[in-house]
Amino acid sequence: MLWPARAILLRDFRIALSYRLNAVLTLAGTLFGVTLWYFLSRAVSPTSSGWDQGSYFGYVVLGTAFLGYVNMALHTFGQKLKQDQLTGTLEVFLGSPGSPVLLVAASLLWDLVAQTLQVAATVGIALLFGLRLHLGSPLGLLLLLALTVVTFAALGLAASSLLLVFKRGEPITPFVGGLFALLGGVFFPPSVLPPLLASLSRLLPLPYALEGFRGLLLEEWTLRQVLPDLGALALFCAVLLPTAFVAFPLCLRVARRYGLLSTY
Amino acid sequence: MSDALQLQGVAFSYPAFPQGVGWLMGRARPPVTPFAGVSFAVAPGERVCLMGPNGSGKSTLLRLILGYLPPSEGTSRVLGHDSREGVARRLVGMVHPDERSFYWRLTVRENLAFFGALWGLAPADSARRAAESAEAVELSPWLDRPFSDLSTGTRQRAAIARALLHDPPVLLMDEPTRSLDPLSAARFREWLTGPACAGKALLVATHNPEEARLLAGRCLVLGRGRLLHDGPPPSDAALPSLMGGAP
Repeated sequence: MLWPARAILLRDFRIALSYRLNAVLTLAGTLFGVTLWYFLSRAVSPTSSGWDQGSYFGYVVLGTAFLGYVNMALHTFGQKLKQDQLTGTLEVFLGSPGSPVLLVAASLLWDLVAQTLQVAATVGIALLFGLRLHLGSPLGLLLLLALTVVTFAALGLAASSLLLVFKRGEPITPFVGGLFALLGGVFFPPSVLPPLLASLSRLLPLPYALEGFRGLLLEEWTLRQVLPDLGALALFCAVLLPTAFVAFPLCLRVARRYGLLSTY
Repeated sequence: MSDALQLQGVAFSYPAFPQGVGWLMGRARPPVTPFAGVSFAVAPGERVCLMGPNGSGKSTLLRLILGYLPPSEGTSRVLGHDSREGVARRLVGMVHPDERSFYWRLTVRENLAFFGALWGLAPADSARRAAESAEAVELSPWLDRPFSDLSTGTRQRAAIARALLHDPPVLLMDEPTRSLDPLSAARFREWLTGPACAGKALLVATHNPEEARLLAGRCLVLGRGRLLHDGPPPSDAALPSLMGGAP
């Protein structure tokens, strides 16, 4: 499995490198985004709105930066499966001797690297606008990042399994992405939501991830302080990973049985 | 020694979608059985052509042998291994009819190295085999060109090179000369019958009776839901009645 995973990473890197204008435009988009949040944060008056989360600029920049991991994990598999269906490489890919689930999971590798670079660029630009980071525990940060990616990758794999059978719609990912943006504490704390929605937000993994990232990067949280969030994410992983590893082979089996692999 | 390919009583059906599911998918479909009761064997090193009218199940049969599709009945084995096992997939190379099944933004070399790794080759072996397979089909001058730059004929050469990467003892081909001009098709057949594919069992699906006669001394004809003929390539006179329409 090592060589196929390495080859998939290299493939995606080379293809990404061939779209240079896309990289430039993505960076420009990041710059515009951070600029937007900077000026918006200057318009938000902390005292009048009851804001008690410190700098809104830091809050929203980190929220949107790490929301990118959610979008990556929820959309990447679907996009790649769709692309491979359209180009005809899916049959070749899934017909190779390796485990189809592991091969598809390996497709996340380059996007993880790219998204991390995107986050670094976002934070880097925000630093130029005056964002101050106070890193607490690097180990905590790494663990939090790993659990966040695995959680959302598992969710994305499970959701995109439906794409193998139903071909279009990836029915869950846009809905889930919107739900996370609204309830996940990306743009505002869930505590400002009506009580029912605020309670619902605790059933999602994103608020725990964002709480941990903000604590570790803005408030110098120690590993001990981020443990509750790490524990919550580990619980989500424990549920979502097995679900994904059951759903994908099941949908693949159905797609093979009904002759749907080569259609789109 | 085991047969390179052995099919015993193989049937395949595309089942109807469960009620409601077909509606959700935008297509209700009755069950379709392209073929049933198909039995044949291909010896190591033997070249066999597979013919049949459109809809007779040639592509389906090749996908079944490759392990993409599960048989509804019967067994399909590659050198004694069930087609669905990973072991069997390492023994088969497929020349896909779809020239889209490469990554057009990558060079030929990068494509071949990728697929070699997908079949378990270490990077150094993958690179070496990519060069050797390309050499075998005179693809070397194009190795470092983007795949999108290649002509149709050259892309088909890349498809053969890909199938040869892991040096499989069995090669399957689904209408490999479909998009080729007569000269390129003739050159393609030279590679199939030359050193590049020497010693390998070949099963080639083709619509072209002349090609079947040039490539192989044995021909299987699928039609009307079963194997209609297993023997020397049929004559032009016998073909219309033999291939008369899909089931």
